[in-house]
Amino acid sequence: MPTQEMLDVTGFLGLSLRAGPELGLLALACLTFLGGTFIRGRLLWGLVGVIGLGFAAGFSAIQSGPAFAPTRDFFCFDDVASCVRLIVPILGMLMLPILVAEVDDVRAADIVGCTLCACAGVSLTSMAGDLVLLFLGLEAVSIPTYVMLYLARHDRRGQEATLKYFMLSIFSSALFLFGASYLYGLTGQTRLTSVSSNGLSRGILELLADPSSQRFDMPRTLAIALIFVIAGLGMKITAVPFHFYAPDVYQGTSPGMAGFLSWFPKAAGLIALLRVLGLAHGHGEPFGGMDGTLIWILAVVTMTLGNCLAIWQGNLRRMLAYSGVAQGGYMLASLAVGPATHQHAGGVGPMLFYLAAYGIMSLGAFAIIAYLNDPEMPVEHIDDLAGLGSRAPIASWSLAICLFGMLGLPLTVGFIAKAQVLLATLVSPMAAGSSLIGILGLLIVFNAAVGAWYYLGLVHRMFLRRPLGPQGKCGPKVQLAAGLVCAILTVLLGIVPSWLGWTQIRQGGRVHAIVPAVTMVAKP
Amino acid sequence: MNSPDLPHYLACAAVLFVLGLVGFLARRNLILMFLSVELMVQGVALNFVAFARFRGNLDGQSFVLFMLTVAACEAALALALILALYRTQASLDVSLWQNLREDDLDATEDDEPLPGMMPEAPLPSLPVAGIAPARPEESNRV
Repeated sequence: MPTQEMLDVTGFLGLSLRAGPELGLLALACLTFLGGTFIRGRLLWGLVGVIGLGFAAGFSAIQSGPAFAPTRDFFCFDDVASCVRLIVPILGMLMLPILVAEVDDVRAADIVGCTLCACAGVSLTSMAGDLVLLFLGLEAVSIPTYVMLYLARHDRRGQEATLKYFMLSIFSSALFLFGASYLYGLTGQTRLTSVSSNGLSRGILELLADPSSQRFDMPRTLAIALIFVIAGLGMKITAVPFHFYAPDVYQGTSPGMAGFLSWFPKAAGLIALLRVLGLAHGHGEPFGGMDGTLIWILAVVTMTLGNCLAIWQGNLRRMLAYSGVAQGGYMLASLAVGPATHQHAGGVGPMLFYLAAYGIMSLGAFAIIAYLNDPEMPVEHIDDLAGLGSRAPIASWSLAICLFGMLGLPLTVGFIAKAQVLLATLVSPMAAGSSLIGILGLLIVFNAAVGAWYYLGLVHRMFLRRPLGPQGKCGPKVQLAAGLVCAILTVLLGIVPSWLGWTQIRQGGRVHAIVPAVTMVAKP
Repeated sequence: MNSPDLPHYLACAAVLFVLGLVGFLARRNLILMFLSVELMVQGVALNFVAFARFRGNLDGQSFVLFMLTVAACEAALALALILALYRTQASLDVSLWQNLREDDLDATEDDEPLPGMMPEAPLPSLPVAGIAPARPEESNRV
């Protein structure tokens, strides 16, 4: 309830300071939109965006130090938030050059502004302690995405992609809102969780976990709310029953924009799910295991179907779209393990690590594809990559490393990410049905093997086949540079994951998980 | 007569929501599809307001304000997008937009054309030049 602490001036100032990176990014976005009408230039606005994101990353890094104690309120400054707020601007800095190089000078400022908004949106979602902020954060990602889809490509196919994404996105946000309204009705609050000094004010998650406060026919009404919320967020995560738009949209839009879609909306959806289900707070199982089973089913279907359908794709971006669906499935599998407890690190830390790793690898792959894409002779079919190894060795090796990472080969960050998710599923003692979670581990291994088929198929085409026809020119070098940075990060973080601020959790001499150094999971 | 209670409001909101949902899935006109989603959002807004009254706090009311703002933002974008699409296809029929699909799937074809999308009679054209034809005018001007 927005009472004294919201009206208090020092509190308000303090809040503005703490949400500084996001507010700054939004202000910079407004400035970019406005300035873009007077001054045109890709270089200028691209630099403005990258520098702004750099400041945001630096500010978030300072904030995650011990000086700022975690709070749970309207803004939820805890370890999940401080971790995500660091990842998002860094990936945004990698994303911006790829996107800006794809558009002309007139649209550059707009696309930079939209990217800044979307980055702020993901950050805001990660610190949402209230349904209102969660909804606004999600919309701050969605609305710029519609504009960017149209800016990046507006021929007939681009228009169709924009239309499909737009219609399904507003439809899914209506579903999410319906679920949210029932969550509010069940508890009489929009605050998700709160820890106050007197212990009197409580949020949705605490109230739902407490049987004495239940006034409705709880299980059935709660099931309605949960199913609608998960369905609404499932569209953003591209979880399987809601994934139909993804291949079409990726195919219809430009490669760089497909790279954007592969991470930013997905991250927002996953983090929102984490917040709404209370996994970030370690409440045990706030919804009586109902959400665990739902997410388990969603994860299994998503990763299996995503991988199996990717095999049959001839279009490169469609294939990567299905691969992205499958990767979303691995992250959902990590969430299905449940929150952290005193005995177990839980699935949240591995999920965040996987999210960061997937962002680096996916952006790298799409950056290289954007670099190779010649408007006269677009790289559409997977056979268009044939013989790339001899023509563009740096690009093809970068792409290969990113693909190896997504496959999960050792010495890449993808391997560590996948190994952690696997560990979390295999050693989880507290999961709702432990056998179910064990099966989940087996299915992850099976899916990684299926994924090898099409990832290695691409590598095979690049290095072991001759070019099938005349080859187009390569694009701007800045896209190659972004792809190269992603590939280098993929290897470096695969060898030394702690460089990203992740530390190992050891229990009884065994490494349980490698989690962000700042996360709250498993403090024994 | 009893005054309406929470279940009545919820039932009404659910009916609105489901009507919007069915409309979104069944309609082929782009604008009507968008309006159907708006109908769903209005159902949710009714839910929030009803719950806010039932719970006796203003959280739900303030959520509705934010929701309406975002919906207005989406409406602006939707109209701009639909206008751009209309310029390309000269039609609001959503079934014209299915070039992006799996290779082995055929396009879905509907037998009947979209109502209101029949070819219309050509607009009357004015003569290029010449004297304007005489028009009936009022006899006395004030």
